[in-house]
Amino acid sequence: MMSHTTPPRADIQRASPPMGAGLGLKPEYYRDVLDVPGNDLWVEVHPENYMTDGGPRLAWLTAIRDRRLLSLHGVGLSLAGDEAVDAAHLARWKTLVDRFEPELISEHVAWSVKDGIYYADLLPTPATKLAADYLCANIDRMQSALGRKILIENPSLYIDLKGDMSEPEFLTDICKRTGCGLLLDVNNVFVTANNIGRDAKGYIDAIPANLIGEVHLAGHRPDPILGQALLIDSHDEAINEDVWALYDYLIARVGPKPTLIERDSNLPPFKELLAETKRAQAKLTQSEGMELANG
Amino acid sequence: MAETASFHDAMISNMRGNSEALVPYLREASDVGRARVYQNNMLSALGQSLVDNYPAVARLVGDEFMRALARAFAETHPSSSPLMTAYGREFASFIDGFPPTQSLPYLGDVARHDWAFIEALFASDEAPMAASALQGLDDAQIAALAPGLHPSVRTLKSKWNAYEIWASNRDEQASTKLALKEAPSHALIWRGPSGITHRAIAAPVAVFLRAIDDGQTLGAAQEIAPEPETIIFFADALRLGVFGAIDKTR
Repeated sequence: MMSHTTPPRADIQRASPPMGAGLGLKPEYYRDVLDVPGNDLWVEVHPENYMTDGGPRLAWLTAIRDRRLLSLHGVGLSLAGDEAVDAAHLARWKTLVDRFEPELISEHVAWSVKDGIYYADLLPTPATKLAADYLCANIDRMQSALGRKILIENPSLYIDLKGDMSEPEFLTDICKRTGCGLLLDVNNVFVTANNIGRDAKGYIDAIPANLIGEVHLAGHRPDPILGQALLIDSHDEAINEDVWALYDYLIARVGPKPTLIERDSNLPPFKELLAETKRAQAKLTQSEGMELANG
Repeated sequence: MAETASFHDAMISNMRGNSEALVPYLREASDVGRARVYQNNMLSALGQSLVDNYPAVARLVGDEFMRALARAFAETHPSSSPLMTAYGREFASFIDGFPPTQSLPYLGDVARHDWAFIEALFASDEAPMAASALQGLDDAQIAALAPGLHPSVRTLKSKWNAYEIWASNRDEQASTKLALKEAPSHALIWRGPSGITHRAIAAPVAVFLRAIDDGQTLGAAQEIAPEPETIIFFADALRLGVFGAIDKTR
């Protein structure tokens, strides 16, 4: 196995401005996001939607980025594949990172590409030693190509795969070996705990706080056939109250972390998403206050 | 290496409908029924990309039929790229050969217009030829220019009135019912100074634009298509922003 260096953790969040609550940016909200007063609201986009030669999306992102901190959150690099990530896709990533200089960069602990076919979903990986080696090699490729540390996001699971270790052990091992950090998706923790009978709070307790560079909050919905027994990470609903409660539990343990509200379809009026962002921001502000009070 | 490699192969089998291949990798074999979620997610993501990229087709056939049409395409056309803006290039020819859409013979051409819109939308941002570029040039010098077309320009032709049908189904507003006509139509779709623009063009203008696209000079292209429509179009073309920037073509 190749050697991995462990750089200082401050590398993960590139610029020093603090990031509170942010919003997943969709074309339907470009004007609304640009017009939100102040520049505390940060935004995250899927870089795949901006890998075009030109056009209005890139122009909007340029205008919004001028006023707001930015995170690029990939969905198509296939880090957990059993083959090297696609060099052409990585080159497109590099073009965007050079152009927009995002504060945060992340991808998923999942795969979607094999033998040149893109399977348009975030496919799971077993938590095995071999799978960890594949992931580490691809994370190294991504971090080397971009010249940046990345965050990796814990998955939503619909099936329980045999493995050599627990998921927190698997993720922590990969972070230590590659120097990357974690994007902890609280909805994914909740959905997976529900789907495969895992303890959500125990999972959060097992994640080292210093590895977490970003948090995601999103909505889910029950499977149309199996109902509550199988929750789908659909990003098409408001954030569930149980997920908000788990978020409270997380920040009470790890302190305030940049937190993103994700909504990818069944898009509501902008003010509803902004209200969710403000709710997260209020919790972060309260958590900061408690940290200060406790020294 | 066999362990994970064969897990990946098993998951690919699942993505093609054979969930049983995953059983050796599951803690509970009874969970195998849940693995269909991954294939469903993939097909709905690909299908949604088609709905997004082909709004006039979706509007013409209705939501339910579009879902079935998109699923039939997605099941037979895996994506070779994680860029969903590039998914569905072959949808028009698929529609041409799809038995249930044979009663809508113009539908494939409508799809070609939707795809031209997508290509124009995401084409490179380079500036078109500006009027200032012609300042100080005499007619002979202008006729000797070979500017090519702006990278966003797409020309379309159909044996039906496909442009008219497409254009009236692009927006949410209810359209007047159009009669299908077996009347050849030509259209131009491009991203001009005020965003995506489209218009019907006369047949000689289409010939003229194809000649420019092939690298012919403005003079030669006008000789190929010397009709009045071409002269009128050319007079307006700089304002429309359809020619390439000439400094790049030299």
